[in-house]
Amino acid sequence: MNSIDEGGAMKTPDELKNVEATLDALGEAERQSAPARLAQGVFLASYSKLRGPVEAPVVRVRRLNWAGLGLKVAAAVALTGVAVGLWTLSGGNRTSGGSGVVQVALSHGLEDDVDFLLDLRSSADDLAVLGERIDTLYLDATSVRDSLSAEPGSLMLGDTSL
Amino acid sequence: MGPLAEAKQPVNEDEVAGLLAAASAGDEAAWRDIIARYSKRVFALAKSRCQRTDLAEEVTQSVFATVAMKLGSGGYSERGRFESWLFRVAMNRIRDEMRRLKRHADPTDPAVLGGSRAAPESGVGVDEATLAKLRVAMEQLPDADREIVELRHHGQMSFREMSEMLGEPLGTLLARHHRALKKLKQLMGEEGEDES
Repeated sequence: MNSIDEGGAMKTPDELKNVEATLDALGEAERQSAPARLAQGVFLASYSKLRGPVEAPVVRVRRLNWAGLGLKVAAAVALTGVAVGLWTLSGGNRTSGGSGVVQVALSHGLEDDVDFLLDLRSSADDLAVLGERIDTLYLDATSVRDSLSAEPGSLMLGDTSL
Repeated sequence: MGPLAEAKQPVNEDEVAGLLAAASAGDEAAWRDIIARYSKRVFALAKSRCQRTDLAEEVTQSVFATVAMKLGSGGYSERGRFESWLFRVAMNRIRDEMRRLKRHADPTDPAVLGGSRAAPESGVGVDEATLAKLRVAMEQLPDADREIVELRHHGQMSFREMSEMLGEPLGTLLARHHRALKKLKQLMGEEGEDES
Protein backbone atom coordinates (compact mmCIF):
# COMPACT_ATOMS: atom_id res chain seq x y z
CA MET A 1 0.00 0.00 0.00
CA ASN A 2 1.14 3.51 -0.64
CA SER A 3 2.14 5.58 2.32
CA ILE A 4 1.79 9.32 2.61
CA ASP A 5 4.47 11.69 3.79
CA GLU A 6 3.75 14.92 5.60
CA GLY A 7 3.28 16.83 2.37
CA GLY A 8 0.64 14.41 1.19
CA ALA A 9 2.93 12.94 -1.45
CA MET A 10 2.72 9.26 -2.25
CA LYS A 11 5.56 6.82 -1.81
CA THR A 12 5.13 4.31 -4.54
CA PRO A 13 6.17 0.73 -3.86
CA ASP A 14 9.26 -0.29 -5.84
CA GLU A 15 7.42 -2.87 -7.92
CA LEU A 16 5.06 -0.20 -9.26
CA LYS A 17 7.56 2.55 -9.94
CA ASN A 18 8.04 1.48 -13.55
CA VAL A 19 4.35 1.66 -14.29
CA GLU A 20 4.12 5.02 -12.59
CA ALA A 21 7.06 6.38 -14.57
CA THR A 22 5.48 5.14 -17.79
CA LEU A 23 2.23 6.85 -16.83
CA ASP A 24 4.13 10.07 -16.21
CA ALA A 25 5.69 9.70 -19.64
CA LEU A 26 2.30 9.10 -21.22
CA GLY A 27 0.88 12.19 -19.55
CA GLU A 28 3.84 14.21 -20.73
CA ALA A 29 3.47 12.84 -24.27
CA GLU A 30 -0.20 13.87 -24.32
CA ARG A 31 0.63 17.37 -23.07
CA GLN A 32 3.40 17.69 -25.64
CA SER A 33 1.03 16.57 -28.37
CA ALA A 34 -1.03 19.74 -27.88
CA PRO A 35 -0.95 21.77 -31.08
CA ALA A 36 1.09 24.97 -30.99
CA ARG A 37 -2.09 26.94 -31.61
CA LEU A 38 -3.79 25.56 -28.50
CA ALA A 39 -3.25 28.54 -26.21
CA GLN A 40 -4.26 31.08 -28.84
CA GLY A 41 -7.36 29.06 -29.76
CA VAL A 42 -8.37 28.79 -26.13
CA PHE A 43 -7.80 32.52 -25.67
CA LEU A 44 -9.94 33.41 -28.68
CA ALA A 45 -12.71 31.08 -27.54
CA SER A 46 -12.78 32.34 -23.98
CA TYR A 47 -11.49 35.88 -23.50
CA SER A 48 -14.66 37.57 -24.70
CA LYS A 49 -16.65 35.59 -22.12
CA LEU A 50 -14.85 37.36 -19.30
CA ARG A 51 -16.65 40.59 -20.00
CA GLY A 52 -19.39 42.03 -22.07
CA PRO A 53 -21.83 40.38 -24.46
CA VAL A 54 -20.56 37.59 -26.63
CA GLU A 55 -21.18 36.60 -30.20
CA ALA A 56 -23.10 33.66 -31.57
CA PRO A 57 -23.02 30.70 -31.37
CA VAL A 58 -22.33 30.88 -27.67
CA VAL A 59 -24.92 33.56 -26.97
CA ARG A 60 -27.39 30.85 -25.99
CA VAL A 61 -25.05 29.69 -23.28
CA ARG A 62 -24.31 33.25 -22.17
CA ARG A 63 -27.95 34.12 -21.75
CA LEU A 64 -28.82 31.12 -19.63
CA ASN A 65 -30.36 31.94 -16.32
CA TRP A 66 -27.98 30.06 -14.05
CA ALA A 67 -30.37 29.96 -11.15
CA GLY A 68 -33.05 28.21 -13.19
CA LEU A 69 -30.83 26.11 -15.40
CA GLY A 70 -31.07 22.97 -13.27
CA LEU A 71 -34.83 23.05 -13.43
CA LYS A 72 -34.77 23.68 -17.16
CA VAL A 73 -32.48 20.75 -17.86
CA ALA A 74 -34.46 18.51 -15.52
CA ALA A 75 -37.66 19.58 -17.25
CA ALA A 76 -36.11 18.90 -20.65
CA VAL A 77 -35.03 15.43 -19.53
CA ALA A 78 -38.49 14.73 -18.15
CA LEU A 79 -40.17 15.99 -21.31
CA THR A 80 -37.95 13.83 -23.47
CA GLY A 81 -38.81 10.86 -21.26
CA VAL A 82 -42.50 11.55 -21.63
CA ALA A 83 -42.11 11.95 -25.38
CA VAL A 84 -40.27 8.64 -25.65
CA GLY A 85 -42.92 6.97 -23.49
CA LEU A 86 -45.74 8.35 -25.61
CA TRP A 87 -43.95 7.32 -28.74
CA THR A 88 -43.48 3.81 -27.37
CA LEU A 89 -47.10 3.50 -26.23
CA SER A 90 -48.37 4.77 -29.54
CA GLY A 91 -46.58 1.97 -31.35
CA GLY A 92 -43.18 3.54 -31.93
CA ASN A 93 -41.70 2.20 -35.14
CA ARG A 94 -43.88 -0.88 -35.25
CA THR A 95 -45.72 0.16 -38.37
CA SER A 96 -44.60 -2.06 -41.18
CA GLY A 97 -44.08 -0.90 -44.74
CA GLY A 98 -42.34 2.47 -44.71
CA SER A 99 -41.37 2.11 -41.08
CA GLY A 100 -37.67 2.30 -41.92
CA VAL A 101 -37.98 5.92 -42.90
CA VAL A 102 -40.02 6.70 -39.83
CA GLN A 103 -37.51 4.97 -37.60
CA VAL A 104 -34.60 6.91 -39.04
CA ALA A 105 -36.44 10.18 -38.53
CA LEU A 106 -37.28 9.34 -34.94
CA SER A 107 -33.77 8.16 -34.19
CA HIS A 108 -32.32 11.31 -35.61
CA GLY A 109 -34.65 13.38 -33.44
CA LEU A 110 -33.62 11.46 -30.36
CA GLU A 111 -29.92 11.94 -31.11
CA ASP A 112 -30.43 15.67 -31.58
CA ASP A 113 -32.42 15.95 -28.38
CA VAL A 114 -29.78 14.13 -26.38
CA ASP A 115 -27.04 16.31 -27.87
CA PHE A 116 -29.03 19.39 -26.95
CA LEU A 117 -29.48 18.18 -23.38
CA LEU A 118 -25.78 17.46 -23.06
CA ASP A 119 -24.97 20.94 -24.37
CA LEU A 120 -27.21 22.43 -21.71
CA ARG A 121 -25.67 20.29 -19.02
CA SER A 122 -22.14 21.09 -20.12
CA SER A 123 -22.71 24.75 -19.50
CA ALA A 124 -23.43 24.11 -15.83
CA ASP A 125 -20.74 22.12 -14.10
CA ASP A 126 -22.87 21.62 -11.02
CA LEU A 127 -25.33 19.46 -12.90
CA ALA A 128 -23.10 16.44 -13.44
CA VAL A 129 -25.69 14.01 -12.15
CA LEU A 130 -28.03 14.92 -14.99
CA GLY A 131 -25.51 13.50 -17.43
CA GLU A 132 -26.15 10.08 -15.92
CA ARG A 133 -29.90 10.54 -16.25
CA ILE A 134 -29.55 11.61 -19.86
CA ASP A 135 -27.45 8.50 -20.48
CA THR A 136 -30.02 6.26 -18.85
CA LEU A 137 -32.85 7.84 -20.74
CA TYR A 138 -31.06 7.47 -24.03
CA LEU A 139 -30.17 3.83 -23.36
CA ASP A 140 -33.74 3.03 -22.32
CA ALA A 141 -35.14 4.68 -25.42
CA THR A 142 -32.75 2.93 -27.77
CA SER A 143 -33.21 -0.46 -26.13
CA VAL A 144 -36.99 -0.14 -26.51
CA ARG A 145 -36.52 0.94 -30.08
CA ASP A 146 -34.09 -1.90 -30.81
CA SER A 147 -36.27 -4.55 -29.22
CA LEU A 148 -39.25 -3.38 -31.23
CA SER A 149 -37.19 -3.33 -34.41
CA ALA A 150 -35.93 -6.84 -33.77
CA GLU A 151 -39.44 -8.23 -33.33
CA PRO A 152 -41.71 -6.44 -35.78
CA GLY A 153 -44.48 -9.02 -35.30
CA SER A 154 -44.37 -9.03 -31.53
CA LEU A 155 -47.39 -8.33 -29.40
CA MET A 156 -48.24 -4.75 -28.70
CA LEU A 157 -48.67 -3.59 -25.15
CA GLY A 158 -52.17 -4.31 -23.99
CA ASP A 159 -52.80 -6.78 -26.83
CA THR A 160 -55.29 -9.36 -25.57
CA SER A 161 -55.83 -11.17 -28.85
CA LEU A 162 -54.37 -14.38 -27.41
CA MET B 1 5.06 11.06 -9.36
CA GLY B 2 8.09 10.44 -11.52
CA PRO B 3 10.67 12.98 -12.61
CA LEU B 4 8.85 13.96 -15.80
CA ALA B 5 5.80 15.13 -13.92
CA GLU B 6 7.88 17.25 -11.60
CA ALA B 7 8.13 19.87 -14.33
CA LYS B 8 4.74 21.17 -13.20
CA GLN B 9 5.00 24.70 -11.86
CA PRO B 10 4.43 24.87 -8.14
CA VAL B 11 1.01 26.34 -7.49
CA ASN B 12 1.00 29.59 -5.62
CA GLU B 13 -2.65 30.05 -4.75
CA ASP B 14 -2.24 33.75 -3.98
CA GLU B 15 -0.61 34.31 -7.32
CA VAL B 16 -3.35 32.37 -9.11
CA ALA B 17 -6.01 34.30 -7.19
CA GLY B 18 -4.39 37.56 -8.28
CA LEU B 19 -4.33 36.45 -11.90
CA LEU B 20 -7.97 35.39 -11.74
CA ALA B 21 -9.00 38.70 -10.24
CA ALA B 22 -7.11 40.59 -12.93
CA ALA B 23 -8.48 38.37 -15.68
CA SER B 24 -12.02 38.83 -14.39
CA ALA B 25 -11.48 42.56 -14.76
CA GLY B 26 -10.47 42.03 -18.38
CA ASP B 27 -6.69 41.87 -18.04
CA GLU B 28 -5.67 40.06 -21.21
CA ALA B 29 -2.17 39.18 -20.04
CA ALA B 30 -3.49 37.64 -16.83
CA TRP B 31 -5.95 35.47 -18.72
CA ARG B 32 -3.22 34.38 -21.13
CA ASP B 33 -1.10 33.45 -18.14
CA ILE B 34 -3.89 31.29 -16.72
CA ILE B 35 -4.31 29.61 -20.10
CA ALA B 36 -0.57 29.01 -20.40
CA ARG B 37 -0.50 27.36 -16.97
CA TYR B 38 -3.46 25.06 -17.38
CA SER B 39 -4.51 24.52 -20.99
CA LYS B 40 -2.06 21.73 -21.82
CA ARG B 41 -3.02 19.84 -18.69
CA VAL B 42 -6.71 20.04 -19.56
CA PHE B 43 -5.88 19.11 -23.15
CA ALA B 44 -3.94 16.01 -22.02
CA LEU B 45 -6.87 14.87 -19.89
CA ALA B 46 -9.25 15.20 -22.81
CA LYS B 47 -6.84 13.61 -25.25
CA SER B 48 -6.39 10.62 -23.00
CA ARG B 49 -10.09 9.93 -23.16
CA CYS B 50 -11.04 10.74 -26.73
CA GLN B 51 -7.68 10.03 -28.41
CA ARG B 52 -8.33 12.79 -30.92
CA THR B 53 -6.33 16.00 -31.03
CA ASP B 54 -9.08 18.04 -32.68
CA LEU B 55 -11.69 16.97 -30.17
CA ALA B 56 -9.36 17.45 -27.21
CA GLU B 57 -8.64 20.96 -28.46
CA GLU B 58 -12.34 21.68 -28.80
CA VAL B 59 -13.04 20.37 -25.30
CA THR B 60 -10.21 22.49 -23.88
CA GLN B 61 -11.61 25.61 -25.53
CA SER B 62 -15.05 24.81 -24.22
CA VAL B 63 -13.76 24.28 -20.67
CA PHE B 64 -11.99 27.65 -20.61
CA ALA B 65 -15.02 29.35 -22.14
CA THR B 66 -17.16 27.97 -19.32
CA VAL B 67 -14.60 29.02 -16.73
CA ALA B 68 -14.37 32.50 -18.25
CA MET B 69 -18.14 32.86 -18.19
CA LYS B 70 -18.25 31.92 -14.52
CA LEU B 71 -15.44 34.31 -13.71
CA GLY B 72 -17.00 37.11 -15.72
CA SER B 73 -20.39 36.67 -14.11
CA GLY B 74 -18.99 36.44 -10.60
CA GLY B 75 -20.02 32.81 -10.41
CA TYR B 76 -16.63 31.60 -9.22
CA SER B 77 -16.72 31.32 -5.46
CA GLU B 78 -14.10 28.69 -4.73
CA ARG B 79 -11.23 30.98 -3.93
CA GLY B 80 -8.03 29.06 -3.28
CA ARG B 81 -9.29 26.00 -5.09
CA PHE B 82 -9.18 27.09 -8.69
CA GLU B 83 -7.37 24.00 -9.91
CA SER B 84 -9.90 21.62 -8.37
CA TRP B 85 -12.73 23.64 -9.85
CA LEU B 86 -11.13 23.86 -13.29
CA PHE B 87 -10.55 20.13 -13.47
CA ARG B 88 -14.06 19.39 -12.23
CA VAL B 89 -15.43 21.47 -15.09
CA ALA B 90 -13.02 19.68 -17.42
CA MET B 91 -13.98 16.17 -16.27
CA ASN B 92 -17.68 16.96 -16.63
CA ARG B 93 -17.14 18.29 -20.11
CA ILE B 94 -15.02 15.28 -21.08
CA ARG B 95 -17.63 12.85 -19.75
CA ASP B 96 -20.31 14.57 -21.81
CA GLU B 97 -18.14 14.47 -24.91
CA MET B 98 -17.50 10.77 -24.41
CA ARG B 99 -21.24 10.16 -24.08
CA ARG B 100 -21.71 11.97 -27.36
CA LEU B 101 -18.87 10.05 -29.00
CA LYS B 102 -20.21 6.69 -27.89
CA ARG B 103 -23.58 7.43 -29.40
CA HIS B 104 -22.15 8.70 -32.65
CA ALA B 105 -19.35 6.15 -32.82
CA ASP B 106 -18.19 5.43 -36.32
CA PRO B 107 -16.90 1.84 -36.38
CA THR B 108 -14.31 2.79 -38.97
CA ASP B 109 -12.87 5.54 -36.80
CA PRO B 110 -9.35 4.59 -35.65
CA ALA B 111 -10.20 5.96 -32.21
CA VAL B 112 -13.05 3.47 -32.01
CA LEU B 113 -11.01 0.57 -33.34
CA GLY B 114 -8.26 1.32 -30.87
CA GLY B 115 -4.56 0.79 -31.19
CA SER B 116 -4.47 1.69 -34.87
CA ARG B 117 -3.49 5.31 -34.49
CA ALA B 118 -0.40 6.65 -36.09
CA ALA B 119 2.50 6.12 -33.70
CA PRO B 120 4.85 9.08 -33.77
CA GLU B 121 7.92 9.23 -31.61
CA SER B 122 6.80 10.05 -28.13
CA GLY B 123 9.77 12.26 -27.33
CA VAL B 124 9.43 11.57 -23.61
CA GLY B 125 12.02 8.86 -23.12
CA VAL B 126 9.63 5.94 -23.41
CA ASP B 127 9.09 4.22 -26.73
CA GLU B 128 5.77 4.75 -28.44
CA ALA B 129 4.95 1.03 -28.41
CA THR B 130 5.04 1.00 -24.63
CA LEU B 131 2.86 4.10 -24.47
CA ALA B 132 0.41 2.52 -26.90
CA LYS B 133 0.28 -0.60 -24.76
CA LEU B 134 -0.39 1.55 -21.71
CA ARG B 135 -3.20 3.40 -23.50
CA VAL B 136 -4.85 0.08 -24.33
CA ALA B 137 -4.45 -1.09 -20.73
CA MET B 138 -6.00 2.13 -19.44
CA GLU B 139 -9.10 1.47 -21.52
CA GLN B 140 -9.67 -1.59 -19.36
CA LEU B 141 -9.57 0.21 -16.04
CA PRO B 142 -12.85 0.93 -14.28
CA ASP B 143 -13.88 4.51 -15.01
CA ALA B 144 -13.37 5.72 -11.45
CA ASP B 145 -9.82 4.33 -11.28
CA ARG B 146 -8.96 5.62 -14.73
CA GLU B 147 -10.11 9.07 -13.71
CA ILE B 148 -7.70 9.08 -10.77
CA VAL B 149 -4.82 8.00 -13.00
CA GLU B 150 -5.61 10.63 -15.62
CA LEU B 151 -6.05 13.44 -13.14
CA ARG B 152 -2.77 12.51 -11.50
CA HIS B 153 -0.55 11.84 -14.49
CA HIS B 154 -2.15 13.82 -17.31
CA GLY B 155 -3.65 16.65 -15.29
CA GLN B 156 -0.71 16.69 -12.84
CA MET B 157 -3.00 17.14 -9.87
CA SER B 158 -1.88 16.36 -6.36
CA PHE B 159 -3.85 13.84 -4.34
CA ARG B 160 -4.96 16.62 -2.03
CA GLU B 161 -6.37 18.60 -4.96
CA MET B 162 -8.10 15.48 -6.25
CA SER B 163 -9.51 14.85 -2.80
CA GLU B 164 -11.03 18.35 -2.78
CA MET B 165 -12.31 18.00 -6.28
CA LEU B 166 -13.89 14.58 -5.94
CA GLY B 167 -14.95 14.86 -2.32
CA GLU B 168 -13.19 11.59 -1.51
CA PRO B 169 -10.85 10.95 1.43
CA LEU B 170 -7.16 11.12 0.57
CA GLY B 171 -6.60 7.52 1.65
CA THR B 172 -9.34 6.28 -0.65
CA LEU B 173 -7.75 8.01 -3.62
CA LEU B 174 -4.31 6.65 -2.79
CA ALA B 175 -5.74 3.15 -2.52
CA ARG B 176 -7.53 3.50 -5.84
CA HIS B 177 -4.39 4.83 -7.49
CA HIS B 178 -2.37 1.98 -6.07
CA ARG B 179 -4.94 -0.54 -7.27
CA ALA B 180 -4.95 1.07 -10.72
CA LEU B 181 -1.15 0.86 -10.96
CA LYS B 182 -1.23 -2.82 -10.05
CA LYS B 183 -3.97 -3.49 -12.57
CA LEU B 184 -2.08 -1.63 -15.29
CA LYS B 185 1.09 -3.51 -14.53
CA GLN B 186 -0.80 -6.76 -14.74
CA LEU B 187 -2.56 -5.82 -17.97
CA MET B 188 0.66 -4.69 -19.64
CA GLY B 189 2.39 -7.86 -18.53
CA GLU B 190 -0.40 -10.01 -19.87
CA GLU B 191 -0.36 -8.23 -23.18
CA GLY B 192 3.37 -8.68 -23.44
CA GLU B 193 2.97 -12.39 -22.76
CA ASP B 194 0.25 -12.66 -25.40
CA GLU B 195 2.53 -11.12 -27.99
CA SER B 196 5.41 -13.45 -27.23
